[in-house]
Amino acid sequence: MTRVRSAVGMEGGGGLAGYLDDLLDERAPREAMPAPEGSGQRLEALVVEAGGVGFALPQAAVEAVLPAPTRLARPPRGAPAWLLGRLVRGGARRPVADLAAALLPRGRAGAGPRPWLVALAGRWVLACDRVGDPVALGRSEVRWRRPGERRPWLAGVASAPPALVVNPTRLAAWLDAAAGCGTEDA
Amino acid sequence: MRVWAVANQKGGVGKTTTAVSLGALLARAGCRTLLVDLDPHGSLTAYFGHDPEATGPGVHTLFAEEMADARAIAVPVAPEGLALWRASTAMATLERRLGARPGMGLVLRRALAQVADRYEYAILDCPPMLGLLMVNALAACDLLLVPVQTEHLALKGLERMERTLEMVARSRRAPLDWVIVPTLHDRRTRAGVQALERLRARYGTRVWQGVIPVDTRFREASRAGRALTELAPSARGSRAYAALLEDLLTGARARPRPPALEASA
Repeated sequence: MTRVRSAVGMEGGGGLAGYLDDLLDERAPREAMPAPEGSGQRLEALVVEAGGVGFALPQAAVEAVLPAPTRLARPPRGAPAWLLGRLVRGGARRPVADLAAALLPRGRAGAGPRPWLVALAGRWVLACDRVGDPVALGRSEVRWRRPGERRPWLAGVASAPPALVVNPTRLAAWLDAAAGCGTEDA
Repeated sequence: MRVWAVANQKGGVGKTTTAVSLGALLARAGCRTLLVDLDPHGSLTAYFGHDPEATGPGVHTLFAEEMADARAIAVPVAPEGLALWRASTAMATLERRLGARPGMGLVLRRALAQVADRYEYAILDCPPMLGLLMVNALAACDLLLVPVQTEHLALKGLERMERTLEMVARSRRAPLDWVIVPTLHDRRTRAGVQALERLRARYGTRVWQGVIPVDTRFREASRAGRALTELAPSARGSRAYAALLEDLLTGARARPRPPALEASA
């Protein structure tokens, strides 16, 4: 059973030592945080389309949506084809990934150019064909999926609207690895 | 990666200013440095122009997602070489939602381990209360900096902090090295001078031998969203933080500082 204590009111007492021992227990398994209270079990997401496929990006991870500029800074030599270049934003040069070309099987991505960019919180910017309105996906409307080796970024599949639900932190890590670059420069 | 936490159970003692200044100095010296905002008020996050009310990847993500990827949550801030893990006000609910679930005090340490090859230093800006977030910082750090304003009430608060540190060291089963950094020092006031004397008399070599002076230019720098060490490297406050960093890096933090520098602070 999970013990839940707080430091408040414990200072100076033996309770504080127990509280600290619990928190710093190396043997304890990592427990996921329960869904936020009042969240209504719904996921606020922005559905974007790329290569004819919908991708639901958690709204919390979306920093900005902007039209694609006519030119991007050139990607590094030897970068994968889906790495379109770099966008200077907020004083930083952020890598731009063609969402469809990066994530969909070869031949499914369709041809660019992608007219919209979605900047994720963090560093990646995703190029896509269309940006829809924000939606609230009911938890039961998504077939959730355990992180897999092939598509670690795929958190689940939504039925209405049909979309691949993206885990943005895993997507960023996957793009980092696939681009063969660190966080500082792509 | 070396991890320094900046903490005191009293607010308004210069924690965020210390984190920003040391972070900027380290980055300017060519050390890739990660600043981590652990305070739900998000002072450090706001300092660099980010909105703590906004949702997005940051420290909260580490606690909310079991498989959170710590490598994907940093945002670059100035100067080059400095990055930030942002705070969000949602972190204020972590204590209530997670309480003292066993092991939750080690979330940050494990997250920092994921990025240990990306940064030479991480500086953790702690909230001014003992709880889940501060315990995470104390569990993760190699060195704790305790900014203490040189005034009577701040010294009383330090005794409480000292007791807390003893208990944390026991629970984490490793010694916790800490150093007191006298801040907001006004050598023109008798109360300030006496408080500094008492601090040194009581804590001896735990106290850094320099002081961070009151400097109105810190406020200017904060408004500009830049470290004072970037905006005005020759300002009194900048020079004091440069001296602190030098002493921390050389391990000479308790070395008596040259009288000239002490007098100029």
